[in-house]
Amino acid sequence: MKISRLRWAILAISFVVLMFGSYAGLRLGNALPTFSCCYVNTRGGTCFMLALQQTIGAFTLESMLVFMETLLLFSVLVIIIGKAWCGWVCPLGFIQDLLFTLRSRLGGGYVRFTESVKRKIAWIKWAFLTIALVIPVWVAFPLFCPGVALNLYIPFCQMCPGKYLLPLCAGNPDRISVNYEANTTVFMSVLGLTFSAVTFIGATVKRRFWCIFCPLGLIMSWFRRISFLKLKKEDVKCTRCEICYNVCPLDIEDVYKSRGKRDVTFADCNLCLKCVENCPEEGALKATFLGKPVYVSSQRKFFDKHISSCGGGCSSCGEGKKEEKHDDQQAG
Amino acid sequence: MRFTINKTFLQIIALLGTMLFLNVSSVFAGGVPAIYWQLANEDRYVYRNDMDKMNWLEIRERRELNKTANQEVKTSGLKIYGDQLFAGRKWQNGEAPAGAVSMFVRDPNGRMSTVSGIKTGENAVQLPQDVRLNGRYLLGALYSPGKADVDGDGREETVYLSAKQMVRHYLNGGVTGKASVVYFDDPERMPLEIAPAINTAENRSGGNTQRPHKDYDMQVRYRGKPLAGARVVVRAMGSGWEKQFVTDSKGLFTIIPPDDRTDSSREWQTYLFMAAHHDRERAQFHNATLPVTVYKNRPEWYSKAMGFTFFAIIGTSVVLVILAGMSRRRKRRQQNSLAVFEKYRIKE
Amino acid sequence: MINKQDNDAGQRKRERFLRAVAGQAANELDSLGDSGGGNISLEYFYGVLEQVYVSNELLTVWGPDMARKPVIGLYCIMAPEELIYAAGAIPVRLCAGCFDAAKTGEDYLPRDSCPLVKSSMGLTVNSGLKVFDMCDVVIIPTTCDSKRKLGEELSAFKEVWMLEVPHIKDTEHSRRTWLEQIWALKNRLEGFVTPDGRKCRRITTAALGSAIDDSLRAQREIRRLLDLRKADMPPISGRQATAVVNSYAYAPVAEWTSALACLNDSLEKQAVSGKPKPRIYMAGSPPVFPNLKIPELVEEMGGIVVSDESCAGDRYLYDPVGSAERNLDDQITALASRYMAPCVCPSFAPNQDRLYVMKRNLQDYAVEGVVYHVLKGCIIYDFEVARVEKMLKEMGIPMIRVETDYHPEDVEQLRTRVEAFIEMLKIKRKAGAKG
Repeated sequence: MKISRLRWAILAISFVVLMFGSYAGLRLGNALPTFSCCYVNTRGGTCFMLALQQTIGAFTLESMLVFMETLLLFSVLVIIIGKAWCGWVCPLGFIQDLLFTLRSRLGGGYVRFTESVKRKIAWIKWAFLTIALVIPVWVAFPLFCPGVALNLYIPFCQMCPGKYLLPLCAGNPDRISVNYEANTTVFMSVLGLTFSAVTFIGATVKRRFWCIFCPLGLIMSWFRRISFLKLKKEDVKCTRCEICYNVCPLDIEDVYKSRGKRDVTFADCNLCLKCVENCPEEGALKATFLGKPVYVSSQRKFFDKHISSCGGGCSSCGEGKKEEKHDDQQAG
Repeated sequence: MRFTINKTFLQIIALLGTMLFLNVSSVFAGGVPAIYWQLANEDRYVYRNDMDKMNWLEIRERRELNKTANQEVKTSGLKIYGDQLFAGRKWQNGEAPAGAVSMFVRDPNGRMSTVSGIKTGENAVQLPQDVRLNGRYLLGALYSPGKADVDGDGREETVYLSAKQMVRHYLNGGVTGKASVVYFDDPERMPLEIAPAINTAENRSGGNTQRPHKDYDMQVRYRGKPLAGARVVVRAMGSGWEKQFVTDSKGLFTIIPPDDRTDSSREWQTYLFMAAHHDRERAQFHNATLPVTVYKNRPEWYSKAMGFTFFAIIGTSVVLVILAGMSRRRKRRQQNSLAVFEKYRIKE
Repeated sequence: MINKQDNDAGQRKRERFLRAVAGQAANELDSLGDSGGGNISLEYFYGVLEQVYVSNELLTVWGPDMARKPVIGLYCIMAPEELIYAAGAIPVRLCAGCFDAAKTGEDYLPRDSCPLVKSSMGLTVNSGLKVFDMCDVVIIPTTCDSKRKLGEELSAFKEVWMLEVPHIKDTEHSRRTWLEQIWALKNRLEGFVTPDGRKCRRITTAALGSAIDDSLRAQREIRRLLDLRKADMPPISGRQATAVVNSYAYAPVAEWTSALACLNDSLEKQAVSGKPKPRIYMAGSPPVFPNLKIPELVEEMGGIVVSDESCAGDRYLYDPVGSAERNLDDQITALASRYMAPCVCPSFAPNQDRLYVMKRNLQDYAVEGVVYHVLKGCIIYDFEVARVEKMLKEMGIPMIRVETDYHPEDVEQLRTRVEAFIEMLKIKRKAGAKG
């Protein structure tokens, strides 16, 4: 089965499970390394960012113990499949992929982020992570401006596109509102709406737009050296044809550019395995689980995939002229 | 025909009004009292909006208190609402009902348990039995003070007073019950009950708080089935605001709590929902209550219109920026930058 | 005023020239035919080369299309042929290795310049060979010095489109520049009309997609052929394989692909007998038909060329085009990527990737010896000899550097050296088998 079809299927199933899981009584815990938003009432599990901010926002002994426990569970989950959570499970990722595919069906150009652009915007995900870690400390110890601090409960969640887009996808448009309860909430909800709108439009013209800015992805990328699922490259087989860069949703050049590295799981990579699927050299790229290859690039599969019409090029042995196919195409 | 407002007319109106009032009051204020549940130390179970006036140590203390409040065992006491003579006794507001009261708890897993051995005069229940079971507990009481002629038709009806309360319990590390419901659906124990019409799959532990200016659907059920045409009175216990409803064919009515600022000392009030039903076939009269905490509203509220406007404005500007970028790219690609040599020169 | 005598003299000169070119090609084809195992499936490829160089009947290769479509001449491997097919034109690659043409070219170009460039100049100036004459326009990429100046010199005789290839291909802006060049080429192709009214049509997604599919099928077949040569006893000699690939330059892609499919099918079934010969890898400047002097020498002396890295040989059709989506934007991006990123022509700097390509080939084909062919005047391949030698020393593979041009006279001197090299390889293999 083509790996891209498998990935779509798993994304769709995860979307249903994570968004509507409580109808089936599913409780997948609150240490999930994927955006399963706490504002979706029917969710099957909760995003780790909520537990992170809530526990730090209380900062009592008990809550910090809960934090450690949740962090441990989170780490275990991340170590098992690395950032494949992002590429295969995340509902926000699913929405972004859908939007991008919609655009490609309607016909229209798209944008890519070059390395220099990525370097310039790398600070944004660090900013989000700082907000998610530092502001709850202020909420826990509101030494100054307690009025503002008390409204900054779960600060990142108030700015996250998930809060506005995911409930919408679960059928609840109530979250798309400016919260006028206090100045702080006005500010935060406006920021959140802005980020959501930008993400929504951005995901239509750039693959996985939000993933470059995601702080949860940032935390997960720290585990990449010890996670079980990795992307490996066989240097000598790589012809540097650049195809893996052209299909990569995160615009990672280093996979085809790197020489001398066996492990090419980079910080941005969400292990969607599109590069392995589209690599024309046999065995140049492979996904390994605990060192054992689970999906290897194949020359035959490349040609089967990219030659859209089968036919021609076999057994009509030399005699007779084969009419040139392009001749039959009408002028466009 | 000319219609003039004169004294006679006003008198007629007053008479009608009094009759109406009496009619209603005869059911409640002048007639049958009600019983209701009230949590001890209610303060600890509500979200306070005035914490920003405290200093940070107080805030932390308050949070701890509130958090542990949810985790600990709660005590709820049964009280009388009404100040009147009824069924040959004097009923006093706030006192515990005299006589045998059957009290029962439904835990979030759906199990019913009867509370027994409570001394008269001290009708208080501690719940939950198992602190590790999180979710919505239903606390109910049924009290029958005897027979009385409620509607003045000469026949006596057996009066049943029931009280219900939804108590939320959450212990970190506990297990959430799988069947957190808002109805007892038990005709023997609680024939008449009111509850919010919420989706208990989505809402596993809430429903006992409301905010002003939002509409809430409530339903009245009698013997497990929705009751149409039932009269419900909602009264705010702090400010005395009162409104009456009649349920529709599905037993539903919608309430929009007002933004009540008359009692400024507290950030919240308890609104008592009281439903009454006269079962003529069985010659019974039922009275059911449900207390709901309503917060005093912050000055403003959510604005969905503004939200969608923002969404639209930002979205449109982003789209315009992208379109500008794309057209610039197209222009760059259309320029014919391929050099053509002709006779040792570039052909222009 | 041109008098008849001069005219006749000019005419005779041209005829002599054409005869010389045809003669060289015919000789080469004869020796190719002799070397083969009587394989009928190679007939198509020899046929194409024969039509182009000997009989000068290009129309039989392409059919009546040639009369109504523009013909676009190409040099090197940087210009995307798929674009030209999609625009409804005919691409022919004009890199040719004719000795006589090179001699003629010396009248116009420096003696020390690349013989391939001199030959191209000669064939353009001396009209007569149809494949050069029928080109309405010529696309030259600015790869090496000689090609760049060739562009300038040819512009006196033909319309030349210069495709600017960035020499440092790893930077972001060079990638962007190259992409814009490809777009510019597409735009210019779409608007191209020959003086006699044949014109190109607009390039649509469907047309380009179909052209890319044709290319991919050709690439799939060539990879099959290359895989067959990895066997212990390759069923086809290196010269024959080179002729097959060289004929791609002049043949319509769909026909060529089906002929190659036939060839592959028959080669798979073929049983090869005899002793295994020393496996040689041809590195360096490309031997282009009809100048297959060095591969011929190697194979006459007992070796077999199992693989090469010449841009007119195994490297020509190796890399495929992989577009992410099926729309025009992505296809053009994929084309731009394919024609620049994996190209290891030493006109790029840095060119470390060439060592990786060579290493892969050396491992896959179990190569025993490398013949590094440097054309006189091809300084960029010469630059890289030192690094390649170092790598080969680490891998334990012997190398011989052969510098030559198109003159047939120095074959004898080279013969001795090559013979010695191959003997050395045979001895080494025997020693390896014993020890």
